[in-house]
Amino acid sequence: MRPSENIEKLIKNINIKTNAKTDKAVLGDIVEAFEQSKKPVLSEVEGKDSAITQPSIWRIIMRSRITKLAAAAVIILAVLIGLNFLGVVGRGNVTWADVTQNILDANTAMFNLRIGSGNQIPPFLVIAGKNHLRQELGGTSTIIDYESGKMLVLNTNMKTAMFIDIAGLPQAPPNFLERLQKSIAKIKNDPNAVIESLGKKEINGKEAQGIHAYSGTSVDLTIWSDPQTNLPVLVETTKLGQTLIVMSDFKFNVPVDTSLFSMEIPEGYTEQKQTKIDLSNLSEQDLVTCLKTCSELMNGRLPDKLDLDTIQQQIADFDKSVVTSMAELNQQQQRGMEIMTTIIRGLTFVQNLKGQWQYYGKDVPAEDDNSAIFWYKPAGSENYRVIYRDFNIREQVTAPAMPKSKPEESKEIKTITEKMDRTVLCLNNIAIVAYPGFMFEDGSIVIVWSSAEKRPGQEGWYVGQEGEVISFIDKSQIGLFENLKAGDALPKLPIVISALKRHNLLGVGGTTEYAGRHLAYTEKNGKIYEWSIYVPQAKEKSNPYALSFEPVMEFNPERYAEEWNKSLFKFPIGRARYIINADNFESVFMGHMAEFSDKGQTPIITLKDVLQTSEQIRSSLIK
Amino acid sequence: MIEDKLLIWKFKRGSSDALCRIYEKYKDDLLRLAMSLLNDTTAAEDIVHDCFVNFAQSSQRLKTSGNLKSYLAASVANRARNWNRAKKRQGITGLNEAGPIVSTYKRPEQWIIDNEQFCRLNDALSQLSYEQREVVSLHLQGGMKFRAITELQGVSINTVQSRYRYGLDKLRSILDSEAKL
Repeated sequence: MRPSENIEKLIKNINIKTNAKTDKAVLGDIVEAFEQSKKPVLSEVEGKDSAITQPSIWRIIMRSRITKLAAAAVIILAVLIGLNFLGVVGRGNVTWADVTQNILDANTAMFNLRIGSGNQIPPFLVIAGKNHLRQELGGTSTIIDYESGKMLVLNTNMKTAMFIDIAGLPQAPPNFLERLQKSIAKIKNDPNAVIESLGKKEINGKEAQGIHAYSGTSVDLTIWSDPQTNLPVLVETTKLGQTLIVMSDFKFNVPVDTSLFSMEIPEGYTEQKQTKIDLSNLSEQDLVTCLKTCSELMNGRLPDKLDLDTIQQQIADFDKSVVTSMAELNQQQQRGMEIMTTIIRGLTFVQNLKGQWQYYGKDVPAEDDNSAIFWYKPAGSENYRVIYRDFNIREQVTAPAMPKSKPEESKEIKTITEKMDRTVLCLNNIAIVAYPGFMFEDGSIVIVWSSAEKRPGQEGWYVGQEGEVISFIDKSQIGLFENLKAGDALPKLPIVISALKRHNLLGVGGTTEYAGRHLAYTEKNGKIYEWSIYVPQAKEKSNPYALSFEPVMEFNPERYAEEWNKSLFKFPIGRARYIINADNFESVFMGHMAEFSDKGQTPIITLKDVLQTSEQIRSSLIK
Repeated sequence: MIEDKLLIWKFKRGSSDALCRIYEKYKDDLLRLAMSLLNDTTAAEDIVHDCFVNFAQSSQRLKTSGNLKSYLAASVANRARNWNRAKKRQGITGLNEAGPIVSTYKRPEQWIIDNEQFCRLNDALSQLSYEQREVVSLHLQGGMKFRAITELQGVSINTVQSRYRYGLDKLRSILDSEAKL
């Protein structure tokens, strides 16, 4: 055969051989590159959407290339704010003097720091008499120059640098070491301070002796030290039950290379856009804005405490916002920076207050307009400024009474609980849990749900006292799923979401009904999750603002014959939170499926499969 | 295709087994494509190596809606084009101007083991214009559709199809003349 006779076939099919040894070496390089790329620093700074972790504003703050650097700066700021609590502390005695002498004599200090219940932030490096500080945190080095009010944040992995202007830093001795030294030095001159021994306890396997010093309600300082050397082991400081700051692992007089504090961008680093955190001209209005913002992000609730750590955790718990495009992500990042600045400004206002203040916004409901949530007495004033739950500020001559503590909530099992991302319905010995829906481009909805019943002697289900823990384990259910195909009728579980109804805006346009069919099922930790597809008769454009869907609930006729046709229960299961398209099908839809599967062993489903199933169901409905 | 989708899905979730499978599945195709585009064993090996390393690092950024083989082939083609440009900038005779050259230098651990038929075909391919060679190689060895190649080359589909047709004619002619000798 002449080579030209089938030139295409020749080119297509020509074989090459590879050297197996080199092949193995190349594969080794590739796998190594892959493993490196999975390390958190790289993946986090890319700020990309992830299937497993749903992006929220707060998470975006922590994952974005730009805001991550700024967030690192804000953590340092929180430390600055927190260290204001290191105010004047008590009168000295021999023991106190012994313990603190090493701190007073230090020229340099290195120590680890923890704020609130957050992770430890290692380590801070400071030099007495210098207005700068360096801190290392997971590939990020932060250098703060208090005189110029600038921070230089270096990402040592990505070789990026960012200057942050900090306008209006709290007026306080800025050097951590000096601050501690000055606080201790003042003890001898403060006749009102109280100093008490805390005895001994073990810290990190070593015996330590404790001293607790406080002055009125403004200062609270505890130092645990090594009884042999009198060197401090742990310093705790707190104020009125707010932020707790713990310093530990002290090293004093460590040799320090002054170039570590240079505000010059190191060679090889790329400078990123400069940003600014403005802490100047703070007023009570900043606190009001901070509280309003928290309330908006937390479904009307206020934070338990006025500290960054608590607020950060609580917002992250409530904020389930989802981004579906890069443009949205950028907007969220911008919004994240605004939120961060707002919160920091509000908290800094509080921490800078010279006089008394109290916060008790926790558990005050949004509709309780006349309840005070915060009061303070401005320095030199006879009156109190009081912020009420409706965020109005009034001046009054007496401090408002602390709200009475609420009676403990009933421990009875709730019948319907909406918590986090799911809706739970529990009735006698049967229950169902439904999660938010996925809306596809043809208007069909997929909902994941599970249902089980408690049977005598069975490893049954459990509902937490506040509905917070739900567990459905009924291994016999698997038989209901084994022969089901996509498009088949729904499995006969104890309760079934047989259809959905969507009431159009303000009732105009009537109600759209969605017929439910089986799409797939997944198993995780012994539970079985049904993935049902609900299809409207007419194709609809996917609508992110669709109102709540009302599930039509039916009971299994084989076990609950009398209830079967009653369609007893109607409750909203929330709007379709995820709009699924070709770009996010793998990451969002399959990602969620993986979350509901043991070790990510999901059924093999493509977007095309879902749309084809939907079309088949729609055709059968029309017939 | 379903296997590719599943592999990508697993790869994006951190499975190195999926990455190894992707590598095993497509390394030969990509090496053959790189050789066709460059006719230089060392450069082809480097490019495919770099292409896979880059792919391995891109699990978080990877969009999965397209065809995996085409995606990898386009990655090799882009790198091959850059390599050619760099070579031109360095004042070395471009492949288009040069006669058929095959890297004859054999390293002790060379990845591709040349065979005669493979060398002859690459010699013939190297006599096409680079654009023609790219279209022929990407379509037949990279499995890319003409429509996808238009995006890569920035020309109309008619131009791509013409390049393909003329490329094949020329190859036919070259191989025919060799056969007559």
